[in-house]
Amino acid sequence: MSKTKEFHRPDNWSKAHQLLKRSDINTVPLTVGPRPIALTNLNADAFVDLEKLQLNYIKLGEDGNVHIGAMATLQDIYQSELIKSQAGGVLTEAAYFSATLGLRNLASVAGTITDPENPPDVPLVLMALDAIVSVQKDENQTRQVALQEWMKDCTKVLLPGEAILEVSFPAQPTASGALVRVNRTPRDKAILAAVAVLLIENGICSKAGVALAGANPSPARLLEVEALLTGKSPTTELLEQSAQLAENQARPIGDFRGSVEYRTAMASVLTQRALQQAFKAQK
Amino acid sequence: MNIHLKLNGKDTDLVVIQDESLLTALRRAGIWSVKHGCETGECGACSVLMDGKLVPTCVMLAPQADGHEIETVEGMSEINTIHPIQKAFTEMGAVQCGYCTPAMVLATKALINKEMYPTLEDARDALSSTICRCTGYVKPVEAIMRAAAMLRGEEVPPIDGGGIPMEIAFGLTGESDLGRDLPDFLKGDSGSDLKTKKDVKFAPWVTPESQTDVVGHPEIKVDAVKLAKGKPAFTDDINLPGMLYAEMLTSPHGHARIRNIDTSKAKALQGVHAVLTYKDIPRVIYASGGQSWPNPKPWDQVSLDNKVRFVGDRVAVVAAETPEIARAAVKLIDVDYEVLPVVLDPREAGKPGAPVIHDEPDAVGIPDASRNLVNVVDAVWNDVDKVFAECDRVFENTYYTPKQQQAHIEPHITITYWDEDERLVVRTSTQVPFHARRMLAPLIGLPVKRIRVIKPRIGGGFGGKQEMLIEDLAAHLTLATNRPVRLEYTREQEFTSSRSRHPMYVTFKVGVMNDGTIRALDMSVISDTGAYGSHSLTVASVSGLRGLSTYKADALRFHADIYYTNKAPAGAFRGYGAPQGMFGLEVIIDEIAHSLGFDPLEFRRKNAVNVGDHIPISTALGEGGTIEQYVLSCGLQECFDEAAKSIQWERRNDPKWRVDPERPHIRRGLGVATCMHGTAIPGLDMGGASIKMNDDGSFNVQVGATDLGTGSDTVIAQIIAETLGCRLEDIIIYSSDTDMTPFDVGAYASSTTFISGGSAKKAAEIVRKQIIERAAKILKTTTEGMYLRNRQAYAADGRSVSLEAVALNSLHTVDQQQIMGTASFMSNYAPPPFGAQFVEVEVDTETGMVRVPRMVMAVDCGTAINPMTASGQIEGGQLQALGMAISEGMEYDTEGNVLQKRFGDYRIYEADEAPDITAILVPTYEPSGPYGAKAVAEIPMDGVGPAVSNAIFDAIGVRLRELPVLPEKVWKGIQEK
Repeated sequence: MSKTKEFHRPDNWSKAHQLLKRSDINTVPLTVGPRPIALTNLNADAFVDLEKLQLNYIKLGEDGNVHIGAMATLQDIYQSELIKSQAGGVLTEAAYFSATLGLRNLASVAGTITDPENPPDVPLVLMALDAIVSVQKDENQTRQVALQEWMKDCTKVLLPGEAILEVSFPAQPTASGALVRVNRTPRDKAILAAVAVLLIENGICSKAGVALAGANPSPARLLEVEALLTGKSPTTELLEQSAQLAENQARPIGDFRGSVEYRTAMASVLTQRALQQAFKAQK
Repeated sequence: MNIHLKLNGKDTDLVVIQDESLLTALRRAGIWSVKHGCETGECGACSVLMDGKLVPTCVMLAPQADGHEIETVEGMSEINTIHPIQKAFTEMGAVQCGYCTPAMVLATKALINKEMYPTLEDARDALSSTICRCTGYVKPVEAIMRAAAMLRGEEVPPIDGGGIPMEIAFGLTGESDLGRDLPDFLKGDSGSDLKTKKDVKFAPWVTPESQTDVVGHPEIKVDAVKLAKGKPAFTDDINLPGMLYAEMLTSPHGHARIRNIDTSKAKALQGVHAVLTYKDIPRVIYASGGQSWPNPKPWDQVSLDNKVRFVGDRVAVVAAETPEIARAAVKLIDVDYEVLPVVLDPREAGKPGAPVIHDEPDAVGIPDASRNLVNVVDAVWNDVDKVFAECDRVFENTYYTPKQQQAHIEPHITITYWDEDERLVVRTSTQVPFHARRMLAPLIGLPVKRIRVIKPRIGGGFGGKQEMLIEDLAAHLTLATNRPVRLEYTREQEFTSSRSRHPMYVTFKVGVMNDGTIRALDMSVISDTGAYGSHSLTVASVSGLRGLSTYKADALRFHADIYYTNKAPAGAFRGYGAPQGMFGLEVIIDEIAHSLGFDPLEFRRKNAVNVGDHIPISTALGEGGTIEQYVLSCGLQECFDEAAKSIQWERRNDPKWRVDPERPHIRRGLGVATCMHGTAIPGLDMGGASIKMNDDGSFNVQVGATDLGTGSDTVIAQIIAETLGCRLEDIIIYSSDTDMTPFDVGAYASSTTFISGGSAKKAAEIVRKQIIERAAKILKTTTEGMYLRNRQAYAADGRSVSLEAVALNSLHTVDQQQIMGTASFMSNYAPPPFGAQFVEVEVDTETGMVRVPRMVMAVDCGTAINPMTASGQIEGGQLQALGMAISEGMEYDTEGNVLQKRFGDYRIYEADEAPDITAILVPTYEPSGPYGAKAVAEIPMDGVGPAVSNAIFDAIGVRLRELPVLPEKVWKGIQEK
């Protein structure tokens, strides 16, 4: 019969690392996302609970970056004044829409970015904010992965022995942001979601973060749209051009929520709407 | 391993298994209030407060609680005490089935601890983690606001009021007016108004201004306190020594023959006590739908077969010492399948070359198995073609409604065991305990008398438990092992292997005159029953009955073809065919009104049936036979008035309201639908009630009626308390136990208040007569003019004797006698309740996304015996119906795998996204029902779908003839416009 799985709760990274790097037993950090997998379907033989490693912080670092510890919950994010002050509170909104209260209390940012089936909102907004994932390789070493790279195949980035340490992004208190979604009901997982984080100075877009989920196999940052917008003042034509770019790049996978045709068409609608709203929010 | 936690304030050590869920560990520790509803944290029934925060425990490993503080509702009150939050939930009618109530109570506690002055938005956010399938969240939100006020020390208004005039309630001299012959007015003067009851002889003690004391009042549900306190009241809330855990092996194929099964490895696993396949049990043909004897055909199932007909169909079943061993054993069963082609579309299933799903020779009553034809229904009244030829205009269109899932939060669960008399006890979450006992007996080879079915509290049913779904498998395992066996579905199995609403293609052809008179209705249906027949015949019949009863016409015709497909079987689901029929009807009526230039509301008013009208199609369609039906009471026009006022129907003519300058892509619209349902199956449904009087003047009541959360125990107790002149708390009611209570068909067909309540009233009248006779002797007077009220028996001269004194006298003093009465009730009438449904929508013209900010429904259910539970039915029903309109529908891939196997994917409205829902009760008096009552449970399913479609048309001019109105469908409609 199947063996009982192990449970560990180390009180320091050294012990955690010793457990995680074991090759004889499939050991993973215990994280939960906003769309949890049934415990009986979890694919591991041993779990390492990182609760005691003080990873639930959300803070503004001296480096000018906002740091979100791996175990900070979606509710921590939702309630954080610091997060609310960034890009018009667009990450606060994303956290709210990702899960209901009980799951927000349980789901961590690490859990949110490690299962492609999760609602895309939080990773999408973080991507647009230029977020970096820090991974604890072993006791002393970390490595960094840009979230937009991470999300391309988010289940495969962590190597045996590794754990997510934090997600961080440059503080953007003066940027404006907008998250738009299409779904069956208001808190349903988005069929498509688009986010725009724009820094507008003297009517010119000096920095743009634009990301789109549901129009490609994984949530994607629209770098070409960002490049198109940067240095320009937002005109209707520019927004339409941006939307067209998003649609051109759409390579969706259809499912019961929306077909390829619908997702392709919505790529431009949502991109344009997110940009419009972000521009409007700036005023 | 050992964990240490603070559990409800006490330092506690628990022995847990490392990889079990916290939910399982807590329940093993006797914390029964924490419920299993899913395995993915989405339904929230398993929630606790961990360090003051609400968290779902089914997705937490038990050791995660180590070192933490865990609170559950068990810690909130003691015997005889109740926490203000729990009290508020009971008082506001927020407890229906009660399965998720503990989680809601905890969410409230966490919220109020943080915020003493919560907003409505806060309350909805707090409840968002708990999917409630019963209430529509209206009353739970109100309960939170009331609880917060109570905890702030504020005075809260009493929940009271109501009642109906005594002269109406007791007008017929106190004698039962149930089940009598056709009212006189139907024999001649069909215009008389029953609501005023002009010619009734009043009981002498009834004064014109007096009101009933219990009936018509918003009494607290009799089971609300135990449910709010999380007491062990449900099927799974017991520990039986030696109990085994069952697990099913289900088919991974949509259609396959089983060449062979090898169970040897599974049997060899330590801890496995039985593995059963088709080789191990007798082959007995049956139909699983919980319906009256002899169950409607086809009989096309056996407990375990050598063929599987849908992904999720039964292959084998295992009993083992733990759920983990049972799951492991299932994986060790080797099955050799011969995979067969599937057919998934009922429109294809009858064509030549389609795979034959039921090729077994022993199935009974399949009209044409070679064409997958399960049943054909035909009904006609007058010469339809002739009338169509006379019509100015004829309209025709086809409408589709989806495979909606009941999604009761408590999954199907059964525990079976031998009692000390070697009789089989089946403790099960069922809506039909008596049918289940009778249907189970032949399958397991025991006589009915050796089986006892007990229905504890049920965590929702909605028709999903009007089915003998798993009782046979658990029973077979108990017979095989002689041990108690527990079989429970996972949430995924609820989606793969349970029942659902029949998807239907409904084609309506309607002939009208230019003056707006409907003359002929022709309705034809293609229904998809999935792999087994179950309820398919009667569901399709109800589609026709409801589709062809609401509007007057000179000729009617109905035809239904029901087909098998390789999908999970459809079954009974609240509405039972009516929502499918009413969707087509109410959309085509709207289309006709617009085409002819009528206001859609006025067009409905003009053509709808009213008091005195005959319902001709009822003679042709009906499980109980061909019994003429008439409308004896009807408040439909008043329902239109009230609901239109509430939704502000005139707004649709205001161009400024229809657009939103802040959101230029949004258009607003309003839609309406007429609702009409039935009350019980005439000539068939029957319930029994038994009452006995106790020493203190209280009464024990036994009823067969099956309360599935709706409050039927309460309503029945109210009817009895009113009749016996006592308080609700003087009634101790026990229901649905085949050993202890009289028969009842069960909770379905909107029958319980009417049928079971009718039997309760009749039984109470027998008891009342005995009390009055004895009281007259005690008071040395005659029974003339004697009545019961305020726990007293009053003589005509004003003297009285208490019920307690009567009871003591009867039990101990003179001419000793147990005052008791038993009665049953069956009705040849199925009096229709009526309703008016209005819906407001916002349509995003760029994405096709539809939002519903508000729904209003006014219902004429006759007398609402309990306006609190009645309005709760209307609120919750509307939200369930909105799910079918907006987001709920099971879909399949080409191999027959269902695509929505968990909450979230299968989208049910959560508290913070549910619309503002209004329920309005329009009182009428139904002469054939107890205290004037008729049904309320199913009618709220009927109008929301068409009203949403009609509102979308009002908003953007696009006609949606298919539910649910997913964003893409609306968007396509906009593109094609």
